[in-house]
Amino acid sequence: MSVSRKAIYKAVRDIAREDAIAEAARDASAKD
Amino acid sequence: MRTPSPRPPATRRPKIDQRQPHAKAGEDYDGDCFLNFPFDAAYLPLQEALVFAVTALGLRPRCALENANGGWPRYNKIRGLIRDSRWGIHDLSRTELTDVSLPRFNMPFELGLFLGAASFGSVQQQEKSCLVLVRGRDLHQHYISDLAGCDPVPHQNDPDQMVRAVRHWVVTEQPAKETSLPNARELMRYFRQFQANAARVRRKAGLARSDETFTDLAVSVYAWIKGNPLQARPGRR
Repeated sequence: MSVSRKAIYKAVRDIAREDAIAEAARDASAKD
Repeated sequence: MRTPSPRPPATRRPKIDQRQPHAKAGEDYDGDCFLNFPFDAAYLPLQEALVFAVTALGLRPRCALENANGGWPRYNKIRGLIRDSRWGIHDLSRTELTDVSLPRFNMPFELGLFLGAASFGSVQQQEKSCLVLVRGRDLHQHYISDLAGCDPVPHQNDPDQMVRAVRHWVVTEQPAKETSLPNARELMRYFRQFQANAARVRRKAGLARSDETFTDLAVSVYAWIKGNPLQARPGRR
């Protein structure tokens, strides 16, 4: 797999993780 | 059921030698969709919509740009891709005069090749189906009147209309899948979600838009759909 394809897969995974963390933080602050 | 599982983009060289004109079609004939569109920067938003809609609807986008081997004449690449693809989308909207006052004939030429394969090819090749896209409703009658009665679909250079046209074609040709596929509005919303994240993906991957290849786009779309499947609506299996 080329470098750019690996980087694209990693970018999509990282964004999903960042979004999940941000959503969890929003949920937590809504409960507070 | 969610959206169909997207097919991994074609990133490997085909096993079948595309230089052999009478070789059998590729193994994924029923899932491969040949894309025939103008290769220019102004078309990029429409190209993005096209690749996204095809992938989200469970087909695999194939294009002459996926193979950068300069040792193969482009005609051979195109012939191999057409042979390997049951489905074809041909955008004639840019059949217009170039800087040297001559029309761009590549797209109508490749459509003719596709229709020729469907007309005179093997039984498998005769199963081909294509969507012909144009800019406005009647303009094509001035430059390709042989298509009269073929119902080309206008997209007015609007990515949303492109997504809608592709979706309509896919469900018309594969009615059994209609209940499992997103409706046009869902698909357009899904596309806008991808668009909103596409720049982020490129930035994180260190890719400039101007350097993004067709395969980079196909991989981005595939990876994003895989990681963000569309949730089922009530009534959709």
